[in-house]
Amino acid sequence: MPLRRALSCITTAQLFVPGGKKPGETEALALSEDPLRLRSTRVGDIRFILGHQFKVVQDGARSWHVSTTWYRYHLTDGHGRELLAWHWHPATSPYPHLHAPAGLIEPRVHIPTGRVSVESVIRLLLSDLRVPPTRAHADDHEQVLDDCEGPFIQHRRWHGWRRL
Amino acid sequence: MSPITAEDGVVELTREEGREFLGRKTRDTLGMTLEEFEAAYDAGNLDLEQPGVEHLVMLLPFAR
Repeated sequence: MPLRRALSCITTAQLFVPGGKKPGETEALALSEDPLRLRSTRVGDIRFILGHQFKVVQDGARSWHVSTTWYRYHLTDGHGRELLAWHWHPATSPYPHLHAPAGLIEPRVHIPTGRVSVESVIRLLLSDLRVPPTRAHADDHEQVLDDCEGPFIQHRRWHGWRRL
Repeated sequence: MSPITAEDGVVELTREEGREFLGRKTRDTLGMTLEEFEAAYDAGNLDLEQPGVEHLVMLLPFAR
């Protein structure tokens, strides 16, 4: 789950995690710059708000995996108005979805999605919204994102939601 | 050290640092102290539709 490396394609901000947690306890991620202010050459000022909860789960004598329990990735404009929001929160809405207010589509409408990775949101920012990459990854951000997202795709336990 | 904190650029906050971090955010977003925010959350009195509130709830593991 090399999230910090993926995020380094768009920011030098640090990634915070709470210390002292035991396996099985709910943990969270936060950017040291929150919301993260970005500049898109296509739509102007953008803010990226990263919300992510997870647990470290022991699944063998010496094997562990990181299990996402809640995600909430938001893009707003420079005034904080919501542009896009990807949510998965099984306690309140079991299937992953997108909020994309546009025309008659109200912000509260839940547009179904598959499970969305942080890397794919960063890729959207870089490619379609044309946020410049950081200097460190000016030439290799596509490869970095592919490398970071690969383990997630390989090891994720689900992608499309279904009612059990 | 977890699989997350083993990565370069990831900073593990102590409980005290986490409470300070989240307290700044509750004050900036809602004008509430962290203690007031936690009390409202525990009592079920937070309006999750209010902008920014759900994000703060997601960050509660930093304070607890």
